[in-house]
Amino acid sequence: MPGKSISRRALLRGTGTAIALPLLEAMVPAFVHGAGAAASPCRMAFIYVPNGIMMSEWFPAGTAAMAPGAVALPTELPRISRILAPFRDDISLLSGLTHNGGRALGDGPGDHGRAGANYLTGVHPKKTNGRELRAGVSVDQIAGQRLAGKTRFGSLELGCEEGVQGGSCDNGYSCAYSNSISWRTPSSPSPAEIRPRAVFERLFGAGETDPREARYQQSILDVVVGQTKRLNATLAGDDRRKLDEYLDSIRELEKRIQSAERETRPKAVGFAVPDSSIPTEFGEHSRVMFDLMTLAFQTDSTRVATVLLALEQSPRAYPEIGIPEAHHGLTHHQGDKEKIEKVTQINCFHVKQLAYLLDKLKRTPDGDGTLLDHVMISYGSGLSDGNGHDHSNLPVALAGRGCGQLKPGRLVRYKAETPMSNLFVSMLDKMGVPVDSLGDSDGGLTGL
Amino acid sequence: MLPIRRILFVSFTALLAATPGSAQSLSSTLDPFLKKNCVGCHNASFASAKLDLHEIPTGRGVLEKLLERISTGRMPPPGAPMPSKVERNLASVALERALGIGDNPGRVTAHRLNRVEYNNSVRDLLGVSIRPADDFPLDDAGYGFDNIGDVLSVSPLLMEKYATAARRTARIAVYGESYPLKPSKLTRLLGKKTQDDATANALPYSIRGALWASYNFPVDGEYEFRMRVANYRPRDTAGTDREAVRQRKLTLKFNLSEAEKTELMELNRIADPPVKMVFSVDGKAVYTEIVEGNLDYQYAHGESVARVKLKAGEHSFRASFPEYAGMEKPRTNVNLDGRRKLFTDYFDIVGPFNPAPVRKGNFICAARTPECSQRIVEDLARRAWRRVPTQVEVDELTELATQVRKDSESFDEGVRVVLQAILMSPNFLFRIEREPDGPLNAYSLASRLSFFLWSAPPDEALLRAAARGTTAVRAEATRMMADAKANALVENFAGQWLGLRILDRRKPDPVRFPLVDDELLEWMRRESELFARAILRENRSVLEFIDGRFTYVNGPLARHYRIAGVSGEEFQRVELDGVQRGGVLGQGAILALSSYATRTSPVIRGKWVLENLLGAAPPPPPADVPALDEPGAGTGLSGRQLMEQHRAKEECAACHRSMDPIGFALENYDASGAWREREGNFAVNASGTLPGGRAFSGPGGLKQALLAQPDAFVRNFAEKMLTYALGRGVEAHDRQTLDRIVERMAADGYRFSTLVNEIIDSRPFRMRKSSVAVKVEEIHAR
Repeated sequence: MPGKSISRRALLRGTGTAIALPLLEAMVPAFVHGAGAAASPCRMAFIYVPNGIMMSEWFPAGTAAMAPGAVALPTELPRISRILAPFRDDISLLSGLTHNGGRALGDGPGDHGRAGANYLTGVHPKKTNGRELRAGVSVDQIAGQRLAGKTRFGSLELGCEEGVQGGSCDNGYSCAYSNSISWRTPSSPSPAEIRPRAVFERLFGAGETDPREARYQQSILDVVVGQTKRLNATLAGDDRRKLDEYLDSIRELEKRIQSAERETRPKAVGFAVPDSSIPTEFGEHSRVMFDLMTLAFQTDSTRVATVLLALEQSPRAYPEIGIPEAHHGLTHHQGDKEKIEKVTQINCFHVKQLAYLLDKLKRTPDGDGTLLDHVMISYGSGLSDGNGHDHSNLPVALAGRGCGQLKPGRLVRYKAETPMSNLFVSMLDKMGVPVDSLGDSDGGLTGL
Repeated sequence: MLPIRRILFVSFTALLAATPGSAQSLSSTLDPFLKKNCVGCHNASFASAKLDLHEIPTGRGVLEKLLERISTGRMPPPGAPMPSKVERNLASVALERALGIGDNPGRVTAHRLNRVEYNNSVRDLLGVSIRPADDFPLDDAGYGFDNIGDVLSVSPLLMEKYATAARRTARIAVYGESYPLKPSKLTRLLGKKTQDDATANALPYSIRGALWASYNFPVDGEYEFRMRVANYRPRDTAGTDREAVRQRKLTLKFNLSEAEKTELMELNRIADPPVKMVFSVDGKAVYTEIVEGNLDYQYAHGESVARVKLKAGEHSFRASFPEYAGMEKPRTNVNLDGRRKLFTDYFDIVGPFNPAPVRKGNFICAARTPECSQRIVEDLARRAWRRVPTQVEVDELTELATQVRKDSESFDEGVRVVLQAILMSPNFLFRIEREPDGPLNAYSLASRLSFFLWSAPPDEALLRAAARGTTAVRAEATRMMADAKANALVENFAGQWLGLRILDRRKPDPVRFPLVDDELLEWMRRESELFARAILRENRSVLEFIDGRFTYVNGPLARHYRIAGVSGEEFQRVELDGVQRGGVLGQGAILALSSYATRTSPVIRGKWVLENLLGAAPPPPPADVPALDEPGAGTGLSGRQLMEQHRAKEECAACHRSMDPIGFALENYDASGAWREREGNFAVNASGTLPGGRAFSGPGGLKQALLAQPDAFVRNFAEKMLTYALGRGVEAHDRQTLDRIVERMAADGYRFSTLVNEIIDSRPFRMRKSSVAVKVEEIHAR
């Protein structure tokens, strides 16, 4: 017979049935931190799509000929960006931004591998299929680390495609480079969680609520931290680096336990616990991830998130919109009209999910407005033209009002070769966590 | 021990120190060598690879590259005169000495347990059946393997998962696995309905209607498997008179008399003869029944229930119709709508009935005393950390147990929390070697041995030997290789070396290859695993990976391969003549995973052979050269002709010359690994030439060409296994080790055990170097 100390939760889990957490009656408002602070906090999210976008269907006609500056978003939008027309007052399209670090720079092919790791770090990744990974710290992680302690999670890393387990994914670039856009340190990627249930449990479920358990947990951490320090005193070089990584992660865990003690864990109200399986359909999967991100923002569990909708070089097929071929293969269309059409449809399908998110944010009350008023969301890809592996003039949409700091509804043209990293510098600035530079940035962006 | 260490330390120091006069020896040996063999192309005006070798280069990286090219004979290139082995050796040794890597055993970075190792550790340490690491993020891989110390990292997310896993594991170890008090439905496992069903969580698809899965059972006890047979059989049977009668009666079936019912049943039997369904657990049949055509054509059969007594832990089970394994045309089991006529629809697992008392608190002593508590702590820490814990460590943990015991007034809680701390400790999560330069200590060596051969921590015997300080390594290795746990070497090493883990992502297109279902793919993978296991278990020559004259097939796979005389679902060993099949290059798994979904790719196959069998990865294609992904439709050219067109471009030709001919030799296999003489309208042309100019035709010719230079394959195979064994990339300073291994293997018929033993005896495996590499500036001072 099982011992008396088996919790109900454990028992339920043992049965393999889904656990329905009780739903509470009222939506819990976003937490406000700091005494008397009435304004809603600002949040930021970065959404990534792989393999470039059909550029002719992204920027309005004539954008390329525009002089640097901003104009109101034209009424006529091409097929892909037209999907965002209902949100034309909530988004801007930014043109002319380039990720030079994604280019070969003497390292030969591997544009997909570079594009992923370079995207949010602005750093040209070191070419390696294993040892000594090196990119940079990504914008979301910088924000998350600087905002640590304000919310239970510095940042959330979400995704819709499982990472590839293998040595080299793209011409000698480690799969780690395309598996993650978030990089906690230049050598440690922060892998995305792709299971909705796991994200939910991390945010709202599981974990210990018993104060005694939290005390024990703290004692355990004290013991292992002591062990690590003693070990570290005898280690050098790479061994030490590994143990430092361990220690950093322990500290993160410690913070989380402490903040869990301080505050009550928010409840996910009116939100069904996601199924333990991963949705098969891309649309469903991405929407539940966006729901979870919204919920995390709403409950102020975190203020920073990344969503990796698919991995660079993703072979994903989209049978639900009638495309059984692999996305990456199609993007090397070499001018084939049929393939171009299919890529365009995939791009549209992705943007439809963004529209879903924007709609959801717009309908979610937050402080004196809606969540959409208090977010900055960048959406885009590390390649513009996937067929030719172009890293310049990237497709970028910036959505939300950033707590009044963004003026959406415009088409902004920057001079050619403006670093994409400049956008991230400006976003960090507006988040209240300014940095001098990020990756290859040479300033910030005006006209946002 | 000490004196040996001292001597080694001295020898290292001697090497590291700049020896006067040795600068002379580098230039005096290398200069003439370069002048004679290299500067013809690598000179100021030609500068092939941007390299001018009139002067000895200064960069460490360049020198290492030079060493690698010269020692392996990759340079000078084919066509140019090749210096003798002795000359190459002299040049290599001079370079090694200059680089200070002559007898450097290399170093392995503190090594985080990967997911497999974590699960195995928890299993071996506590005897629990859970697999907590299945929830961990994917392990990053380097050099093609997921156990590379340098690459495995820790993230805050992983740390959260570690905390959860430690808590759950410790609870189960102390209080026992939780399970429902009353028998209940534990899970429902559903299969895919059609071949191209993309449902992520459904079980694999079998044309022949089988369903199989595995499940982790929480406790010893009886479990019921409730499965439902879906039976759509009579629906599209040809319209005979009898069938017409049957159909008519069917519409009237609610008003049938007893006699008519009997008649109808008989008609059904004739239309679709009864089939036997067999349900087996862990490969043993535990339940059979006869499934007849039936009145309702669907689920009228009801659920079949098999009750089985099981031990806690993972068990695999399968319901199938073994007679269907012999079907000439298995697609006859598929209706026009893509659904099968007869299949097992689902498994419900219900239980446990009559559970045995849970295994819990299975510790070294049971008395609830402080002494016992301390003994438990010591024992757990020793086995979890794979070494004797220090007094400080034991005291610290004992103190934690005492505190918790007082706080919670529970002895068990004290043990539980300590166990949690042990599992969260860096001593558990990492394999850290802390000894100075020189031989590893007995505990580190024991860990290397067991993680290499078992992907698991040392067992008690190995730990006891380590405690005595005298590990009889050869004897231990022999004992361990004979243990079932050594199958981990096949699954993890061979599986990753051959790339079997990505087979799921390379599924042949279901429209083009209607007979290749998930089940056949799984059987292909099984074939390759059984084959690799036979080479390991029977201590065969590793060259048999290229040209083994046997394999393992069951009825359907034999039919796919056109091997006569094999029927049924069970795998059996068959002898081969080596013409169409024999060796990994004739195995469906390898052929499918190196193809596109719809067609073969000589480039991918050629690259696969170069990389996986010869260790000579071609350089990546130059930038702005689009990959030839798909053959252009309607060009009227065969795949081979298209490829040749592509190769005509100069920038493509250099590398494709080495890859494509190898791939072309395998063109007799289609993208699903079936043999073909024609590709569409074209006769298959499977002739080619190797980079050295050797002409051959077909897989047999390719295999002969590979066997003609066995060292190339053996060296690469040894390099891969050394990488896996050490958990680090193979470096320039490992050259002598590899030379020696290849030499020993050649002298012993290339036996598998010789490779394992030579690796275990090698300097990189037995020793470590803890300090950093020699600085570049120092090189030329030598």
